[in-house]
Amino acid sequence: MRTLRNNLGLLAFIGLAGLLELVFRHELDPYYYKILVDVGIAVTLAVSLNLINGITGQFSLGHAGFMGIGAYVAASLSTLGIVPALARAGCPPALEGLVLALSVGVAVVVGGVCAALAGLAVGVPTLRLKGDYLAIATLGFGEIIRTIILNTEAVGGPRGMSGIQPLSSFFWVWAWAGICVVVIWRLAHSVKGRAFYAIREDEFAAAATGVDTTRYKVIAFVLGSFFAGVAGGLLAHSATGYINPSQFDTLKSIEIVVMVVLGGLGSISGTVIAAVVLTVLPEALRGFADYRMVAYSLLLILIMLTRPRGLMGAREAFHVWKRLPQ
Amino acid sequence: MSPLLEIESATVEFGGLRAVDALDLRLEEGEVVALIGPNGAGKTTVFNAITGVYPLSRGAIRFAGKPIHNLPTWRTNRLGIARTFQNIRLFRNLTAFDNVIVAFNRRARRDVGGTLFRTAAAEARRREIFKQAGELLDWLGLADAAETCSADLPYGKQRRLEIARALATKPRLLLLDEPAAGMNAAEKADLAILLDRLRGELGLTLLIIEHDMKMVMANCPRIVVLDHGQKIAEGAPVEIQRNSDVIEAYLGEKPKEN
Ligand SMILES: Nc1ncnc2c1ncn2[C@@H]1O[C@H](COP(=O)(O)OP(=O)(O)OP(=O)(O)O)[C@@H](O)[C@H]1O
Ligand SMILES: [Mg+2]
Repeated sequence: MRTLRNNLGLLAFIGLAGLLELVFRHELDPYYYKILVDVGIAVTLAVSLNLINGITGQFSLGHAGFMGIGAYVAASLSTLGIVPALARAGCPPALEGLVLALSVGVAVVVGGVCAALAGLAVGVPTLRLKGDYLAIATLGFGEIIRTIILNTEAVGGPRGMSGIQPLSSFFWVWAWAGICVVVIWRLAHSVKGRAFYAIREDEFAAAATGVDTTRYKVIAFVLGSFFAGVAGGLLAHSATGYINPSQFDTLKSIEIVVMVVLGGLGSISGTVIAAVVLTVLPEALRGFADYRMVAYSLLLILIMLTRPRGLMGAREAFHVWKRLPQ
Repeated sequence: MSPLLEIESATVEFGGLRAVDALDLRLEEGEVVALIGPNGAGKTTVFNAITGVYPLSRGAIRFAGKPIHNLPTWRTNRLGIARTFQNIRLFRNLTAFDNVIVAFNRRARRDVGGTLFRTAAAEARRREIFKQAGELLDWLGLADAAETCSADLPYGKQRRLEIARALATKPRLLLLDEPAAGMNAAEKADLAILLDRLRGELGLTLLIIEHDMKMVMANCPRIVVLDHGQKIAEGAPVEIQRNSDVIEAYLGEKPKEN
């Protein structure tokens, strides 16, 4: 069927991630495995922020806050809820692994939904603000989230949470990255989705063209927050099994903004490339030892000087949006 | 039958400044009316009031019988009012084609599943909208500009594209703010033909702000003159040309007292 054919690419991508998982789990050095997981999470974070900052033009500095909500909700659910419940229920050992994986998968989604609800609560009042004001409001939101976590003893406060099930495999992380990219791509490239770009270009003209601008800004914010929450949940369940509030501070938000800007505001493929490069780069620069971050910063400056509008500008790496043959 | 647009003693104030002062204006369906007046007379403010950008401090605006002066801008468009801008406001980094596609927002079906899974039905609807957008650009002589970034188009084509984008929202009333500004003689002649087609082929009602008097006199059977926010004259071109208040307002022979 036609519909199936249109989704074959995503299915093939997820299948490939599954196959690679089987190989990588045993054959790949855990150090490289971890980098690949980090890259997948970074892609999800950067592409979801790109929907808000790059495509819709609403400058948010609170992405790490939504990520933190997802991380802590998912980790609390799995560590404080699911794992003890399974132990009490006395699940047959043959099934336990599967049940655990599935319920943690659900916990990650719930984390994303909670982040999305927070996005709704924050977005409705603040999206009326423009430019710098929105940036400051979202920055404040991120700090509030971090402070709340910091002072919640049940989730470890400043010590963080440890002993989280390390179930975020290469497969899950990249399956989510694939879903995030495809969902945002298709939304942004649909007829109604062109409204996101129109708001970035000229909000007033978009409204005069019949676009309910508030609605689209809120959709961008909520959907972007959802994927940030999912990325947070995946991070919480990665190999270290440990999270703490400082992982979700403003610096983290800025790191994600840098990926979006470097990729080219609004370019989805550019953002993916930037997320990969900026995650791998610090590792590749380990040879510089103490000067690692200096080299990293110099490279950033160099890229922005040579490509002031980001790696891709506003374009995509491959031009898909064109008139289809009739 | 009620008129298509009915403005009743509408007043718009900015602080102490009364930009539009107790304006009355009625437009019947299919009319072509010019709104003229010296710089700062309040013409653009009238457009902004009609499209819900500024609230009225007094009065009312009705469109097809419905009060619209408390509606947000996007709703006035959905009801059938489209406009262009004095300073062109295209979506500059989007192609001409995408500028028009944005305006199909209202006509596109809301179908999240279809969009995310690219179902055959949703794709067919998208192709249909692409076809209509292509035809619209063609109708306005912009077919060859479709894939060009709108900011890179020559000035005359940018003005045309703004009209194309407005038309894509399927309006009944089209508000044009100085459509001939910055155009050369040939472009103005083309514009006059276009105005004729908008009324003749599409049956639109037009309200046009324009400083080019030749253009106004030749294309608009009725003219409304605004000065300091007030309507100082209204009538056919010949009447307006002879009206002493109008001549005074334009030449500014004696300062207005009020
Ligand atoms: N947003 C605003 N805030 C304050 N004053 C405004 C605003 N918009 C318009 N004005 C003032 O209202 C008056 C009318 O402006 P308007 O733009 O409607 O004039 P206009 O007739 O369109 O003039 P022009 O021919 O120069 O375009 C001017 O004095 C202008 O300075
Ligand atoms: Mg004006």
